[in-house]
Amino acid sequence: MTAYTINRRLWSTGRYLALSLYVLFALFPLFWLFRVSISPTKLLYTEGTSLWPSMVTIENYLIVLQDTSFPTYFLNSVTVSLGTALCTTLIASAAGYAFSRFKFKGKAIIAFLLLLTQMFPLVMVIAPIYRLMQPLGLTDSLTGLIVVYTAFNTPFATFLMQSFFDAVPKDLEDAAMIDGCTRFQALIRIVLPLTLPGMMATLGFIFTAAWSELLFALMLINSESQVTFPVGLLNFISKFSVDWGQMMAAGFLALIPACIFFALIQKYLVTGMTAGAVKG
Amino acid sequence: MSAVTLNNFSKSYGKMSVLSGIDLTINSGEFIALVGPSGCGKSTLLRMIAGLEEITGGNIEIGDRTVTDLAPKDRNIAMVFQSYALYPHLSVRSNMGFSLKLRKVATEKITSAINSASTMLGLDQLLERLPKALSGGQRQRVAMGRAIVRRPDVFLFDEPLSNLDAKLRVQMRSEIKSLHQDIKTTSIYVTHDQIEAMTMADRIVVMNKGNIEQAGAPLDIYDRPESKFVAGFIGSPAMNFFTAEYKPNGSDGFININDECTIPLPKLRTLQQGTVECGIRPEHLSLSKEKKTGHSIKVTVDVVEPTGLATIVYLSFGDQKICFYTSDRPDIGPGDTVYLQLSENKLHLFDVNTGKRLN
Repeated sequence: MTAYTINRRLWSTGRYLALSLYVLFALFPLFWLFRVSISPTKLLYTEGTSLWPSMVTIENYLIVLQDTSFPTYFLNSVTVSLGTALCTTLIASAAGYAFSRFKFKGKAIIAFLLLLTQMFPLVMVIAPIYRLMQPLGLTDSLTGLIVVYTAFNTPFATFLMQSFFDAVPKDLEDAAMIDGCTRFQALIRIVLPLTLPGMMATLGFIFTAAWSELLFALMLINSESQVTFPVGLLNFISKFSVDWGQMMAAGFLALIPACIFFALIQKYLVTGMTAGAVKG
Repeated sequence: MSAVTLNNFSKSYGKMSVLSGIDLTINSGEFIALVGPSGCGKSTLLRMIAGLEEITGGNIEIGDRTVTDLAPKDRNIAMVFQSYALYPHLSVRSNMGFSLKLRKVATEKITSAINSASTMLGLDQLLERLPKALSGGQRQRVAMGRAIVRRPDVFLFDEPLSNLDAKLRVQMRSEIKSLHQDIKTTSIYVTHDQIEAMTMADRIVVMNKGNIEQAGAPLDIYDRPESKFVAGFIGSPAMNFFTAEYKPNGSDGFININDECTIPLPKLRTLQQGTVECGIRPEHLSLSKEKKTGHSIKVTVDVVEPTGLATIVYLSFGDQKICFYTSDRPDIGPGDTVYLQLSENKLHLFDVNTGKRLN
């Protein structure tokens, strides 16, 4: 073996080692989540940081599913996240198309304002948002949460969608319009199928953002029936103790829809991300 | 087949005028080429004919219909784009049948139209493929097939061969020409390649800075350019230009180039005397090692380019560069001093200020 071959193998091994370390680092909290969720409560403190508990139980899961309001929180989260993802993607697609294809007065100003909304920390706007939503009857309601999440996610999603529309050559629409389409038909028949990966990617990003949002949900929701799961997780922390096992079981269950969702759109997401990044 | 008439066609973006006062009639069944340098407005003109760009002023008629305010889909035109603009998610068959399907044509008719176009273009084996699985030339053929199945009144071509390699370009050039000879649909072809324009078109329209410089049959434009711009743009290698002094001499006149060469000419009607731009094509010069009788200038050889078919020689005449083209293989090399003969009946004279033809 020449020095060159050895060197190349070493590099290759090193690269995989580094990647494995990274994956381990990223996935370890998830493993720990699972590990705690299947540990009996009495062993949690006695066994310390051993990688696998000496006894395994599904008791925490049963309690979470049968004796808590977790199923309600879970359904609320699904409703809010799906609603937000759909509304945002629809609005952002329309806005992104307009930014990509049309010249209109105030385009630069509107783009700047959209960008500006992304610069403030959310905490700053919570009080005014509450004051706005209250008279409209949108506090303590899932619809209210969908409205707020959609409003806050639309600017980012718009820019994302614009980049996807920019990647579709204008000639295709021109060709479709000469072939007999109106602009709207050209959009539906030609542009939309080509930006579908982009729309899926946007849907995925927004779904996850809404799925894990805590701050607004905490502030705008009061009644138990409207609580989303990130807020619901806090219920496992009482004044004097934290029910780690149940909390982790709930957390682990909450991961499932996000994982299923990403598994379904994963194909679009990867092509979508590259299609947006590299023009043409 | 329909004639296309443009009346006082103009386009401006805000205060910037891109096209002004274009009047042009394209006869039914004619193949016309719009040529000009980048930014001359030829593509904009084509897109205005297609209805893809708004018209600032004037009107357009296709056949006996005024289509100025009609949407592209209602003009019954077909366009072939430089980028091919094939729908990437549709098969070749669906690409070609797209327009007919939109018009709700019966499926059997669509199939027969696609089949006859694909046979004409040699696409029979590729109908189920996606555009990404085709080569550049095949994609170009599909784009043409998509245009043909429509049976439009007018074909518009927007630099359709620019993305192809040189060899394929020559092949597709003759394919498009023979296609036009078969189907005889009125065609408007935009190109910046004057060879394409010369070889394919019945008539060439040379554009510059948003205006038509000259319109005419290819060889008429080549032999008698109306302006220095046209003279310099049409022809490859390009025409040589010298500055010369024109003086009348009794009932005739003559020009003097650098006090070295005096060439008698018929009297100019529009100029008494003064400086003129004198143009001569590279193939209208002849080269000799010795000074011959006649009108010759002494030049130095810079570069000799043998192409096999011909030889192109670049020479220096004082500060000026001259190109000489011959089908012979002259025995000369860089640094040699030689003589170029200018034949007087091949000279083109242009006004130094306006660039307009004088003789």
